[in-house]
Amino acid sequence: MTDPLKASLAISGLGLEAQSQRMRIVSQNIANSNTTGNTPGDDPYQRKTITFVEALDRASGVMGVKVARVGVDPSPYTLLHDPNHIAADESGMVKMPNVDMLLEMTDMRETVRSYEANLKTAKQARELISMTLDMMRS
Amino acid sequence: MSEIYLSKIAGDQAQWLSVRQSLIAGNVANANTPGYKSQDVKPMDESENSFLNLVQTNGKHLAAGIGNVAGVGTENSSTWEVFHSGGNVSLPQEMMKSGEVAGAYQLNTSVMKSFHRMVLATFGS
Repeated sequence: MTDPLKASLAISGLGLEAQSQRMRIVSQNIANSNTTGNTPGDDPYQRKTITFVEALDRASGVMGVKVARVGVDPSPYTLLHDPNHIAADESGMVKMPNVDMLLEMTDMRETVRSYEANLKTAKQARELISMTLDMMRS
Repeated sequence: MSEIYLSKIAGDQAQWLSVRQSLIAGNVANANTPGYKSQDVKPMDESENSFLNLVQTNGKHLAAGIGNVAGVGTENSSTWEVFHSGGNVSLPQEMMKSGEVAGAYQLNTSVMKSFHRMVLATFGS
């Protein structure tokens, strides 16, 4: 049986890792929000999504969280009229990525809040451990 | 000293609080996991008299969770909100539970500290 307080630290660490991966996906989406194709009618960058799943961490033996899969958003691309663009088709339309800046920003905010919550629980577990150790001090 | 059960009770409560803290950590880590249901420990007085919990009778038995000691069972707790993805972890609620745990743990260790001082005083050291 693992010590619950040490397990809390491990779980919080896994949560931090999961949220960092989510932040990475958000950055990718924002960085590629203007990435189009190179040939006429070519598909642009497709927005990435990330999902989590509760899973056993073999290193620490606790049920934590990990990235289930990184998928793509199947929603339709935005069409932009720009006949001079390299990826413009016969009618002058360019397919732009299905990245919505507002959505990415709210996602980023949520990621930051979740990250903070995980940090908070890790700090708390550390405090409980030090309280226990303080009992031995006179 | 076997007549004084205070250390046993305090130890049990510390164990219970630690398990609760680890479940809170699990809930917070899985706050964005689709379909994840928030978990909590059973109240201490209830679990103390329960004989229905699984116990390890052999050291080689696999533990079914963290700190799954006899008398500390987990249950799906009632939460404030359910998300569209099926998860029901409310971060404010988890933070409040975490605060409760910290307060109770602080009280527990303070009582044990002063009790320890009393014992030392009897021995005159």
